[in-house]
Amino acid sequence: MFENVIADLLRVDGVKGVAIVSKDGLLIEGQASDRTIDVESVAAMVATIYGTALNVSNEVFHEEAVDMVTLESPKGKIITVEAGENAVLTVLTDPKVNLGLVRIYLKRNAQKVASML
Amino acid sequence: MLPGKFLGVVIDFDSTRELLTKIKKGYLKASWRDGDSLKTGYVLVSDGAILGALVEDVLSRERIEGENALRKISEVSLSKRLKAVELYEADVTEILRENPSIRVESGVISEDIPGWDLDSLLLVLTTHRGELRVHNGGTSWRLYLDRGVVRAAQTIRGPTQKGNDALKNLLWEIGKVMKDGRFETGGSWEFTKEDTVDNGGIFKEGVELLREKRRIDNAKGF
Repeated sequence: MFENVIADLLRVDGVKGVAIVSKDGLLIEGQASDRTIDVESVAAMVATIYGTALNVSNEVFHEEAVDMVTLESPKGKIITVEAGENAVLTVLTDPKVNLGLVRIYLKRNAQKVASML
Repeated sequence: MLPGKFLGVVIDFDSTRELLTKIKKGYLKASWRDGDSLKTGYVLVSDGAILGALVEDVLSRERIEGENALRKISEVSLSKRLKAVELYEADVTEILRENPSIRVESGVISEDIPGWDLDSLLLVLTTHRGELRVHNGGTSWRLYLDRGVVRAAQTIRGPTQKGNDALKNLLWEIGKVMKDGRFETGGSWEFTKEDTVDNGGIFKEGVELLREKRRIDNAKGF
């Protein structure tokens, strides 16, 4: 059902994988252009990272909401946004991806996912 | 990717052709899995007519354009593999000017229409230019439609008939087709002189009358 969302994001230069993940860590749908990426494992880890970020936000800012979570490593980035009440949309990218472009596409497609779930 | 203003996503739809009527000028976009790959198809529409089509492989960036792209999208649509379709408003003329290779001449998405769905059939009869197949039990007909007028007819299953005889036979059986048969839009058919029909407007008129009769019957509670 989310093929359009996945295709849209995979088309952005530097994006290697896309996943729509339930907040409890189950992969709803995903695809990677790089076969070495295990989308299902990433999905579970992303949900954990997002959950932790929410807790931190709550603890520090007294606000249980996070706009975007970005994990940057020398070999790549994982960027996650909320997609409706029960899911997140995440992308795995090269280290030198155009972050501005990825953010625009992520936000736009997160709204689509939210409207479809 | 084509430029355009996002109008919305449609998930529950019976027919891709029906979606085309929701866009005045723009395109519909749908993606589907094809083995390990992911493909995205675009169908450009202006006032109900299909003017262009494009299929892109998301990973390899390979493109299929024009009639071939439309055929591929039809195939996927017929096999019900399109789960969500996005609608966009766009300047179709400008897109076609910049991408002339995606233009199509005979624009139609192949689809199955159940015999009882006279509204969908009339929409096809009015807008379609190309082949329409009619299936009913042991007999099938192929018609060449030209926006409301049947230009040619022949049977492709059952007793062999061509031209006026084939159309007359179809009109005779239309009640049964409406009950148990189905219609299938297709591509193009190069008919011969033997297949041509003299009064091709009669088929659409007949279907319109049947729809009217059904409306009256329903109002009376029959």
